Amino acid sequence: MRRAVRWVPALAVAALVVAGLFPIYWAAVSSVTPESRLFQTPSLVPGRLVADHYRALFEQRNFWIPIRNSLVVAGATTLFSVSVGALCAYALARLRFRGKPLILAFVLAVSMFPQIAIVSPLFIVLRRLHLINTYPGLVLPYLTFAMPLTIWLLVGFFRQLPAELEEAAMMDGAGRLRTFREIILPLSLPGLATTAILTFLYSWNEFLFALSFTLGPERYTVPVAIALFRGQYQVPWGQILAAAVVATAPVALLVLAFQRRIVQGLTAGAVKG
Amino acid sequence: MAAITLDRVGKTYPNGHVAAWELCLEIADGELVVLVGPSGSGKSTALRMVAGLETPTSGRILIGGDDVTDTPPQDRDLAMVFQSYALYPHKTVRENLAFPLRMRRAPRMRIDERVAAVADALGLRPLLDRKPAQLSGGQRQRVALGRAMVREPRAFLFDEPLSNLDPALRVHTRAELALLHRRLAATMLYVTHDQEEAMTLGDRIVVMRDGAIQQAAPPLDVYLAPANRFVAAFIGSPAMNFFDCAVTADATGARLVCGALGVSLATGPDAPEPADVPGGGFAAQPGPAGPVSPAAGTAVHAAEPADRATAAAVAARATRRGRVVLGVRPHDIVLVGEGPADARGEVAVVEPLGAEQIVHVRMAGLDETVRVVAPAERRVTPDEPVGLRFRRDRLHLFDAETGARLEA
Repeated sequence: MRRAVRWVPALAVAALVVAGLFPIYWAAVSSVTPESRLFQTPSLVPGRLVADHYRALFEQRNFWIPIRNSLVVAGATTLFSVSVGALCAYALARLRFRGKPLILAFVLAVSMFPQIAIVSPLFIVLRRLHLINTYPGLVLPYLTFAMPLTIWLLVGFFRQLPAELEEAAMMDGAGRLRTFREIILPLSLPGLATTAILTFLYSWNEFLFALSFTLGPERYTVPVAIALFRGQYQVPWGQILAAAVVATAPVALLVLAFQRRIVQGLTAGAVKG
Repeated sequence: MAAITLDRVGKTYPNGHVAAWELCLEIADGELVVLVGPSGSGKSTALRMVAGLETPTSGRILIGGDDVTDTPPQDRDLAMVFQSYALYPHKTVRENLAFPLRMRRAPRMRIDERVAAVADALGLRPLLDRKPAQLSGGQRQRVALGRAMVREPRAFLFDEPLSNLDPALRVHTRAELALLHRRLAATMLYVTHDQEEAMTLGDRIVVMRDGAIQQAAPPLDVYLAPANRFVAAFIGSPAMNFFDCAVTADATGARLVCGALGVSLATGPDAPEPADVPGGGFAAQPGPAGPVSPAAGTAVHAAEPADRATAAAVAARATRRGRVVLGVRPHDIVLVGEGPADARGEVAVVEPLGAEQIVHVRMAGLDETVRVVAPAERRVTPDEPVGLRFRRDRLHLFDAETGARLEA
């Protein structure tokens, strides 16, 4: 009886892991299953493996283009929002000035608008600026959700750093910006990495803005491209799933690569302990 | 090196809390001043205002004659050692030591030279390539010290730098700090809550309470002539005994009475001195083992009550008020058996310390026991009746209401 009780949490965890991983597994398996077998009785173990869907993806559909577009847009958004957001977050975390809580609340409020509500006004603005179907035309709207995310995450990280380190740096003759560069940034690398990954993820997966503000395949991002695979009479499931795998892989690798960095406690030994 | 002046410096937080009130303090060039007080007394706030990490809401701060009240910390040219050491965890010891020089754009040659010199002086050479996380507490403390010493700042600020060390290391480092101060002849402002640290290190100690300076004087002056009851209770260990006494005039001077305690203070030059009368077990006892020999105390420090006549005069004047607080340090009380005594009671607890022992004496009419430091040789057993005799030249009288020291 007691033995059984001990196994319950383990079983629960196992069930959760299976539930979480199964769709990925299923997508991966389906992406290498011939189109003809996709609609037969499903089987957990793949039978014949083919690379047809991947070949079609890159040869007929030129999937490299949406991947490139997504990389450029998500990368630029991440770079911009983390570098500018870090400065904003530091100011909000450490400097003393009036109306700070109000600014933080406002920053959060910006990201609370339902995307669908701001698509039309943004479209008009971007058209006036001649930014429709351009990279900046996607990066700028993406910043509306990326910046609040970055700022809120980083304010939290910066606040955790011992204030005495910054005070010590100032006593040692470093100004605010110097302190930020020499002390704060190196110490918050785990925080910056986490923030960058999350920002990149959101931008990589963003669909509505990308669909609304791009006009042709030369500017489609990965989610838009995948959505538009579907033809009038048929849905190429094999290719869609292959594209999903291709779209997920780099992000998953990125997270795995940075995971240790994120967990690592860089501040160990900073103050007593 | 430079002098530091606090000119009516105050700090009131937006929520109305007063952290510092009208602080006036002159720290001479090369002087080591210790700010001491219980937590929340404003000593750290005072230090941080000198550092520039807090902005005063009133008054001025001058360093070397320049008004630096609105100067940011990085432009004040001070060095500070933090309680937590605040070493940069991502930098090696070498980089930590070099940081202050690098920030001031010192040439590379000079940085290497200074880092090597400081590392040698503090025995950090084998640790130069380690990160702070790989160091012991004592080593971190030395790196923090080295980072302050690497330049020649106008003054050094210490914020409880020893409180994270274990007791043995603390005493050792305290002595090293005193040596360092002598060698550098540097202006130093030192904050601690430890009165012993303050007494041993300071050229002058500044006792603070509730954001205000209570007394600023050389350590012995503070010990021998505390400015008020708070200072008297805070400085000295074990803490001073206080007796809330009624004062009456008697034939020769004044008499203080508090329960079983009765102290006659004579004004006349021929008045008898009870402590001189041999009798009972008193003759067998060595003199009170205070930290200061009586001769040195009276000869060097004019601030202490000059003699029993002044104490009596003070008491006599206090008769008008009717009440006075008598303070006697545990080291200034002698245990006697029979014979004349200022107070009688019985032993409650004995705490042997090795060289001496703290005897707690219960007295009729008093809630608290009276602490007496007796030589270790004196055999004391609980519940034994004892007499207490106070050293007449070491009595402290305080105003019963304000707590201020009553001087002749």
